[in-house]
Amino acid sequence: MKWKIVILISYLMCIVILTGCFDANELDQLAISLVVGLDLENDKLLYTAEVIDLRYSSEGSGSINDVSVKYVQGTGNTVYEAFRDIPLKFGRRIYGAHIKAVIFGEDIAKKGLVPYMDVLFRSREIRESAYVIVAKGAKAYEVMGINSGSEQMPANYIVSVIESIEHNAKTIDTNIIDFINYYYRMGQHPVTAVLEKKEKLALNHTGEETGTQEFELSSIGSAVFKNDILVGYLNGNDTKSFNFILGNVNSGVITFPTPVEEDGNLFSFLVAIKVNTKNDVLLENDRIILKTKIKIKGYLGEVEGNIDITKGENLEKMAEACSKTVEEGIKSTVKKVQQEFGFDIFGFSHEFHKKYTNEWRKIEGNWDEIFAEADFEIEVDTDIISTGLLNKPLTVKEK
Amino acid sequence: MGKTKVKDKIYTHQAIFLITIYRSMTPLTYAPLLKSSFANQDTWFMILLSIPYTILYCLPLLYLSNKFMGMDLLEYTETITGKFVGRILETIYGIIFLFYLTFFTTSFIEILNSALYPNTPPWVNLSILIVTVIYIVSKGAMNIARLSEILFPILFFTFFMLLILGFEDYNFQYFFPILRDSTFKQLSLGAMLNSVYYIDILILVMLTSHLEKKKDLNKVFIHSLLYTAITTLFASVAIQATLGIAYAKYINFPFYNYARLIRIGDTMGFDLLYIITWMIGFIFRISGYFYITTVTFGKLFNVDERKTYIPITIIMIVVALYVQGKTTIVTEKIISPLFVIGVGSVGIILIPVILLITYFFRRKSIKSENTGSSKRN
Repeated sequence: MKWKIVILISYLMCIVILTGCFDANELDQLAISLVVGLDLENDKLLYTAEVIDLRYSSEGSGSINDVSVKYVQGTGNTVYEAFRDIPLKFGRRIYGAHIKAVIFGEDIAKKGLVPYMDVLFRSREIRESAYVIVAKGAKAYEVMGINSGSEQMPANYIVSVIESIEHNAKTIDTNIIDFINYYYRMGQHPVTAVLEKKEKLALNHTGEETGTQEFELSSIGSAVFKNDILVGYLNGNDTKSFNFILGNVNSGVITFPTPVEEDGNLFSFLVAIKVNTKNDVLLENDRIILKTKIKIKGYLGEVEGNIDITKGENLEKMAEACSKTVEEGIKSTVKKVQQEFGFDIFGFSHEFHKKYTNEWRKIEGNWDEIFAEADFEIEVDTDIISTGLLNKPLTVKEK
Repeated sequence: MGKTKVKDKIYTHQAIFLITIYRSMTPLTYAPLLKSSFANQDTWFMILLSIPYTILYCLPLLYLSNKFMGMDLLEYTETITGKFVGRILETIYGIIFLFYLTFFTTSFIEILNSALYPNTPPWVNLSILIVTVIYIVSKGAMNIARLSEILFPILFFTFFMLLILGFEDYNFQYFFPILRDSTFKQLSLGAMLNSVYYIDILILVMLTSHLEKKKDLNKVFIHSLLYTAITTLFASVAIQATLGIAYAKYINFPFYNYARLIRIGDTMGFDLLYIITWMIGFIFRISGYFYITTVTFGKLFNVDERKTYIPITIIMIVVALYVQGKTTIVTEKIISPLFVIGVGSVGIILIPVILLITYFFRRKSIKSENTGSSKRN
């Protein structure tokens, strides 16, 4: 019995002591990466990684303007080769388990992303939940390293501007898994987020000290792919319309002309709190009609113009104006996509597939052409459920 | 196996837990149906449809085990076919059990290496596995069954927790249109494929003699079948709704990938929870196959089961290290999935059908032999 206890204790000790000893990832030997960028440079792949500077973190010193990250680059014929080129210059292996976003330079996106994505799926470290972003009109490394937000690290700044879809649907948050599913699903092409480097108005004087504050990143708009090849961009409003059709707008803002007979451009502002989208496809005498029905619930965030919204009919006019703006915006986006791109990014194909399964089998190979020629109908219904803390605009004077 | 000791009794619920854990390891590890060419948005229906197919597939074995209540698979094989042919069939069963034992061991080592410990030499994982397995098996069938009572709630609580935690990422749109793209043939072939992976009935029919209530054999089978169908269904829906139907076909270990994607705020790493429970479940499954392999070879060579531990362990080590050092088990280079299914079908369908036919021809003489032997006893 004694021997059994001794053996058991030794065995348990071995398990405790030896656990992960071969695969130990010591913090001081890793380069923890949060964002990576992929570019083509002289026909070679250039892998740029933003890594946390652990020295900065461990010392616990430094002001907010101190650089808490480093940028490392590697080149190679494949992504993995470029990735493994980094330790030769940096001395540490890139640890990818915390990668939150993968940025592709425009040049690589125009060649097609999927061949370069293999490593993102094959690697056990990188999670498929990382965002896919295209550096609009730039190399990936050109949009990295900019931190114009209040985040301590540029990577978190990038993630926060993408996740701002919560507040404004002029961007999109496609991740790796979404991208690959768009790619595989017949009849819907991928759309991803973009990052654009923009010069910032020189209001913030601290920028002069660090040199990193003169630019900011804009995630307004989106990148449109045919299969996995970048073919163009949608602007912010089109991206918002795209998000409306996809049902991606959970909250957000809608700016619409105030329904008053005054001169000048007077706008009001609805904060959507609930948006329901229902897409449908009709097949009538060999004619395909794409249909979208959107129901918006929200409250007024801002009212310009002399309109007394305490009156029911005026509030109704405001709701109609909002609906009309959304309708027109979406119609224009669908038309633009049909004419400029000529393929379905909205997923109407799935509605057709669901409803007309037998017909779908005959046309699935030609859906893009059919989509480009299809009619589009939209119906938007807005309910304004609150006017905020004011019941009428301040411009309406009480007599 | 010989005479079953009183202390080696297995209660009905323990047997249900045991078989459910063993079988659930297949969808939670490889999810073969999701990677097959039959997989589409109607895979969930194939899983439900596989219930009657599984009953049909296992019917010969179930019938014989019910007919020879109180005997295990090897015992009634010999009773039906006689000593000489019985020995041959027992040898075949021994090889089948050994095949699955080495297959699961190699898979275990490979999954650990590719998913968790890429730099750990296979022999380290193998050593830990073997010591644990031998310890579990040395405690006998009753303790294996008792262990299932402890493991079942742990494993299934974790499984359902992971399903709930990942719910936010589910996209049920992938499952449309429902049952309109698949033909009945495709649904049936998918269902059949899912049912032929129910090889764990071999464990059940090897443990029949240990069951406290031998009449509950069918109950154990049906309950474990339903529970595993539910597990397979939930796992498949979670995987396909999260990873997409097409992408799921490309993944070696789909539920692991699903668990990797779970994220609550900035908290990630729920895959570790899966890996820990999966390791426990898989080691437990390997223990079951190790147990029936030692019982079979012990009986074949007429030696104490414990004496077969070393040779069987050596075979496990040699095969696992050879495969691990040479290639990967997930490709068809060494073993095609069809071969894995084929081996199971020999043990579950082919031999039992032969036994069944022989039984119908010889049932009178078998009855008189049994009556004679019971009188002598």
